[in-house]
Amino acid sequence: MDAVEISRLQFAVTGSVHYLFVTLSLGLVLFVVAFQTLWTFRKDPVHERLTKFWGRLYVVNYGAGIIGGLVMEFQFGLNWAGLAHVTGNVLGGPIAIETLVAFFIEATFLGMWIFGWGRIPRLLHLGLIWVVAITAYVSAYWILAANAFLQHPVGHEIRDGVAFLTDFGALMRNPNLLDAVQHVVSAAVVTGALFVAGVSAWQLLRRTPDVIEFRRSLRFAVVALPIGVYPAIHFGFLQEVVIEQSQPGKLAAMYADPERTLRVQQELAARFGPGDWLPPDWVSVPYQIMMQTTFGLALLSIVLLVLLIRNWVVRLRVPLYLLVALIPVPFVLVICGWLVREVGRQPWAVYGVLSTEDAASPLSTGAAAASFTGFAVVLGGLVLLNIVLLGRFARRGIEDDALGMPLGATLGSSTSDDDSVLVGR
Amino acid sequence: MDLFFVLLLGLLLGGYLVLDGFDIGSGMLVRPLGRTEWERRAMITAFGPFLLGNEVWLVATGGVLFGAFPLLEGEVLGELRALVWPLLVVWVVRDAAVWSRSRLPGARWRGFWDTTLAVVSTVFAAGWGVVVANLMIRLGDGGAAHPVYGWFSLLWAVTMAVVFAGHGAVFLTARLPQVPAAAVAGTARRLLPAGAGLLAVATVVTVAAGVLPQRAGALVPVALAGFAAAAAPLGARVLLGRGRPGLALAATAGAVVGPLLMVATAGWVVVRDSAADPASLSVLGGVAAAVLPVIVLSQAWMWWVFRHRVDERSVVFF
Ligand code: HDD
Ligand code: HEM
Ligand code: HEM
Repeated sequence: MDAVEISRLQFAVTGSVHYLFVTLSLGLVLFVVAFQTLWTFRKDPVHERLTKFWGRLYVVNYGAGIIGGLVMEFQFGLNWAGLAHVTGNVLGGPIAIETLVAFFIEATFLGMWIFGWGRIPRLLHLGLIWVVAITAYVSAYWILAANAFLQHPVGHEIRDGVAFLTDFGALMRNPNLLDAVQHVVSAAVVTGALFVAGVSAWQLLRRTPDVIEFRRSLRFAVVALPIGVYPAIHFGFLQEVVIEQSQPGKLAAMYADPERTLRVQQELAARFGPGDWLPPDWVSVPYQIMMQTTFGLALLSIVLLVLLIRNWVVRLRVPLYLLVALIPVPFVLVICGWLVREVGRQPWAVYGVLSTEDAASPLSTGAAAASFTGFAVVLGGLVLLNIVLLGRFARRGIEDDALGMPLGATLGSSTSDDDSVLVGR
Repeated sequence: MDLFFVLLLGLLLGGYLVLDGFDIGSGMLVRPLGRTEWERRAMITAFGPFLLGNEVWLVATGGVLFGAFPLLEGEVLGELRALVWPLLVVWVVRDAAVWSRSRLPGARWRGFWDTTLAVVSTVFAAGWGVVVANLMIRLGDGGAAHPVYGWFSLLWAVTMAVVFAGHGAVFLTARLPQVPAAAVAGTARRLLPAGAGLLAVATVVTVAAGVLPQRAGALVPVALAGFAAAAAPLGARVLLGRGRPGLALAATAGAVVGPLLMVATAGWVVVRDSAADPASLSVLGGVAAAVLPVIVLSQAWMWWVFRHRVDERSVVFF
């Protein structure tokens, strides 16, 4: 492998790791918002306990999202200097805006939400999580705006080999962006719904004492599932339309269709000159997985809705086992989706403007390999750690001090010098 | 427009160093100074509510660097990759340590993460010293050829490690309950003069070592910024003695940004010249001008909510 390939692999791995957690954050926060809103207005302790349970999972997961995100952000400079040189004027904008508009407020308010529990007036505290959720989606929009520019560069002109911004509005209304955002949002809903449903089902199977709570979150999730799945299908197929116009080679690869491939290859050779302008056709595999699995989910989501009648989902038990087994599925789907999108963009980093080869920093293979190994080990370790922690908290069930525990309650006495005793919560 | 972005970049990076600076400094001290689990948890709770809102300043610095100075981003991060890459790993591990340590009970689990936190925070602080030294070398352009990790970097590494530790100690003095705060204040009083001395030495060396162009116009402002930074910890020590930890924190904040000011006086022209195209800057500038007030207000609100000392009722998480 040469340095460029290693850098690509590194981006793929860190991107996937980041996205695994982020997509869960985006989905889970909707449930936290819903439960806390209900708790605030109805003052029902069931909703308070649900807010704490899902809120803690959300926060733990969020930490992993940040860790991956940090690596992603600084990778542009470390491994993809050519990208900044040629398209920095255009691509940098959405990324800078994302950090200023979304992350700043999101991070500040999330810290306040965690540590202001019970100390900030209830309505304001509810407002905090609403803002955190909204800014998370705003951040998804802006980062996808950057990514959509790579897929379908609009709103710029090239002078002396450098891209200059001419129309920022075009960047924000990029046809490649609008469907993608809605598809990603739908995917996040699917992920959140299947996660909440799966964990609730697991708790019910383990004969949790908190039957009322987990039954309620299960019902919420079962209702949310089709709200995510059907739009995901709709906007997924809509994306094909845009892809056909702007990245014909990708569509050919997605269906591994020899006839279309041949035709497109000739078109592209006419446009870009002689060479191989097609992405690898194995992207059809992740594409089929994403599509076929989703059809299954679409059917299942209707069946589950019916099973809500008279609480059959729980009483039959088989659906509970099924839901537990489905927890990993949305994560596989989102990785498949990104493989299609990003590998399908090859051999371009910015479609038709900058090849991946030219986008990479001039690194030695050794330097690239060392950086990749380091990130892979560190990130891999942290991911495993996080999954273990998420698993533990999901298993422990509802604890009333999951969030908002005062310092005084962490240990019996504040004066004990004896550390050998169990360290407390 | 260029100047606005140079200032914005300076504001973000300076804000980061001051704010996450006390997370880093406190992180260095949790293990050595916290005698009981309760004390260590209280120390983490002292900076916990701010952590997310503090480190995001560096995320925004990265974003603005890419958005407004794309050429510089490629160059600084690229040339300094031997430095940026380990710093990134250290940063990530620091976050993981804070995030993980209180998730499980058990003295060994927590002890492991507290030790990790102390080690990576110290390396992180020293790493910022190496960044300062290298920016001075590269942006100042005095022609001296120093390696990324030379003796000059080492001097700044030690200096900044002590300065951050002092900053953290003053922060903890201001935020901890009275009794542990008094103990930490003792450490602060010992760290602050050491920080001042090191800053003074580092300033003299920076001016004398030929790192910067040998012109009065280039050297005098740098020396002034450096000595002002060196005076700040001494002022902080006096203020601590008078029982004004809040003001002392403002003074150590000066000590932390002082070196950045030295870099800025030496190299802001280089930074300005690598700005993005005006069309891009005007879009970004409009957005930045619109959101900056919101950002400042939300951060101010956070400070207001968590302005009191930690007590038994303070909410814990990390
Ligand atoms: C639970 C998640 C999930 C589900 C159920 C689906 N997808 Fe998807 N898909 C994603 C999660 C995802 C994703 C990870 O979120 C991607 C990656 C980039 C993007 O915009 O969304 C994606 C990308 C993506 C792309 C690539 C866009 C590009 O290359 O520009 C297409 C064409 C589709 N999807 C099509 C579909 C179709 C036809 C589906 C159903 C029949 C479907 N997706 C279900
Ligand atoms: C977080 C979700 C993302 C995932 C999982 C992901 C996945 C991938 C994958 C699999 C590759 C490797 C492609 C190949 O080598 O064939 C890649 C490359 C790349 N992606 Fe993404 N991507 C994500 C988001 C983004 C976004 C939002 C951007 C831009 C703002 C982006 C920019 C890039 C760049 C610059 C490369 C390297 C150049 C290239 O190989 O074309 N990615 N990504
Ligand atoms: C190249 C691509 C990307 C970069 C450079 C990037 C960068 C970052 C950074 C730096 C953070 C941490 C922010 C903080 O400190 O609060 C973060 C978190 C986050 N990112 Fe990304 N990101 C990328 C891709 C994506 C994609 C594709 C999405 C969604 C569609 C996304 C959504 C989020 C969200 C929602 C968070 C908050 C953390 C969480 O919810 O777990 N990011 N990202």
